[in-house]
Amino acid sequence: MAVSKCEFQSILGIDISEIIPSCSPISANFLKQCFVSSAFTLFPQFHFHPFQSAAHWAAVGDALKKLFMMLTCVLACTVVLHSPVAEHATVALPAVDEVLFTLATTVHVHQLLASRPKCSPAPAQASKHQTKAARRRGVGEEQGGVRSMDLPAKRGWLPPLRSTGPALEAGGGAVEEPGPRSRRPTLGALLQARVSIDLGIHKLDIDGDEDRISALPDDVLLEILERLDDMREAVRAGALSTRWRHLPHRLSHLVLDIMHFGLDTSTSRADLGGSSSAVEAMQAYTRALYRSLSPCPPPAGCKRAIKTLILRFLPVTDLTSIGHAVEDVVSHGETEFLGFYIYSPDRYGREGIMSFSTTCPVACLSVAHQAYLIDVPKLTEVWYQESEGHGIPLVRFGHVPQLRHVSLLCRATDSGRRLALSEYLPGTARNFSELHLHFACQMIWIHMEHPKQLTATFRNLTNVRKVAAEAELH
Amino acid sequence: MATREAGKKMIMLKSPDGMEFEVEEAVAMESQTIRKMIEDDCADTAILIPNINSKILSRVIEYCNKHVPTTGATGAAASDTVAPAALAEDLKIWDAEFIKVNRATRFDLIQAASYLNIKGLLDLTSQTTIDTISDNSLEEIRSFLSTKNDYLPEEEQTIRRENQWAFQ
Repeated sequence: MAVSKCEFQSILGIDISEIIPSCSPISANFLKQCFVSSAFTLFPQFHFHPFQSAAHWAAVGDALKKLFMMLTCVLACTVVLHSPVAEHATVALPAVDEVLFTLATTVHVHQLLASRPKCSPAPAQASKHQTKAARRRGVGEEQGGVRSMDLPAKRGWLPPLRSTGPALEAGGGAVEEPGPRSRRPTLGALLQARVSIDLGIHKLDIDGDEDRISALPDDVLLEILERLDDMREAVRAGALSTRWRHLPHRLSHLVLDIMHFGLDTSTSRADLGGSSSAVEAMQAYTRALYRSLSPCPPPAGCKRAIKTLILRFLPVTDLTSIGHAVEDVVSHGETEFLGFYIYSPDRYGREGIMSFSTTCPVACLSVAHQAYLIDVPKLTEVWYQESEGHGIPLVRFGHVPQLRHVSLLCRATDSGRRLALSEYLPGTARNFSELHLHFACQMIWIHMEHPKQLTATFRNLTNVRKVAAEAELH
Repeated sequence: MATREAGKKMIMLKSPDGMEFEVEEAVAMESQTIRKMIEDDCADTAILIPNINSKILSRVIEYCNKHVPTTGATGAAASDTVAPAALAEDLKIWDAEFIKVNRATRFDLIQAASYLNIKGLLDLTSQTTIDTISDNSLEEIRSFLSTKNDYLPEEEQTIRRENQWAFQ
């Protein structure tokens, strides 16, 4: 894997050099960092250590494109290609120069050839690239170890103004150094360049004034918002404009994680339970849950079906209000998936919290905390994961007649207490057919039970998977 | 599938500006919306695709043509001859090229992908917008999307306060 490195520099006397250790692929975060520090950059300079594949270059091109949307004052741009390995010398960057051509008045592309002995083929390959590029653009020069192409942006569709923009010379030798101030163009040239850039942007419709996205129908915007990884981003989007205000209230997939509520993540799990910050966070969490579930603010009154509800929380406050909220959601009968992840340190007591779900077909439990499924008539599947071994079953089943699938991941106990299978299994499930046991490669001891206790449960069992390195079934 | 065995059944798609596109049924069925129409036997005559002009519709068809699985125009079962990984890589490059369009076209494509219910195309076309929303401050998002903030200052404050957890 080649080491990828990107450097971003301003040449306007503002020292904003950003060195990102690895940008493969270039992340939006990288762009953001660039943006934050370089909003007023007139002459950005990019150093690239070429990646391995054309796809990477496409990523670079896309990244630059996004960056250029933000940098509205770019006048000239310098791209320096470092070629540490021979084969990279032939890398073309169509996406990159496309963008640069479009937006910057003058683009300088320098290819620094590898000077390391083992890269001797580089110059030949580079020449090939150079020739191709030069033929395309009619410019090409070679200075020592540096190949430099000054690329005045000339495209058929570009306004004629562009070609009269300031041609900023960057000698091949000066690549490594920021351009001296004496090269700064006059105000007239700057304005002219600005005009031509504006025209270019207009042509591309990158920065047009028309608010295209807000013209899209709700359903389309919701599809976009629901593709976001983090629900907070979708909620924030509600503050964009009044057009977006009601959209967070129409999301059909909700994921709320207590870790997004200002908890100090450095606090160890074991300390979370008792701390007052955890209680405060849970109070904020409960409020946020209610707010997320609340109907559209008037006058937008709109329909909504919550299909997925995933809650990750700490059982440090009274959970009945969360229970009521969930019950309210599932009572509409449109919920397809309910998931609960209950963070909990062992020291923090045990409470039953799963007493609220009565209509939901599927539940995903991840518990370090005891839960009792008292009466869940429509529950069909349970995935269940213990974070620590307790030696006692953390999920117990009450009335779960429709349950067909149980998947258990649990660590065996230190004490070597024997497991009684019947404690882990739903006694009332008539159609129970699939059981997955995962004991994390630990030795387990199964307590002997009278067959009669299990046959009722196992009657319809068709699929058993057991994952344990040395399970000894006695 | 019977229809495919019987050769290339063609479907006529019509854009509101009067253009007609004849496409293979398998290609048209990349769109779940059209698939449903075909399965419900509503596709005997030309299917009118509302709200999608011929320029965008032709791009969508181009996408579906490329992404239709198994037998393509060459008639060869692609999965047998080409390694799936190489095929996927090839598609990715093609996608990257396909999506090099201006913003107006991109939003038109998003809308078309959503209406026609073509998941891959919607993923592809909305990715830039998703990146924009997920990695930037509100002010930045507004400027990228050219969305004008028409909240009163106190209204925006209220929203921020009510959803404080999302703004942390």
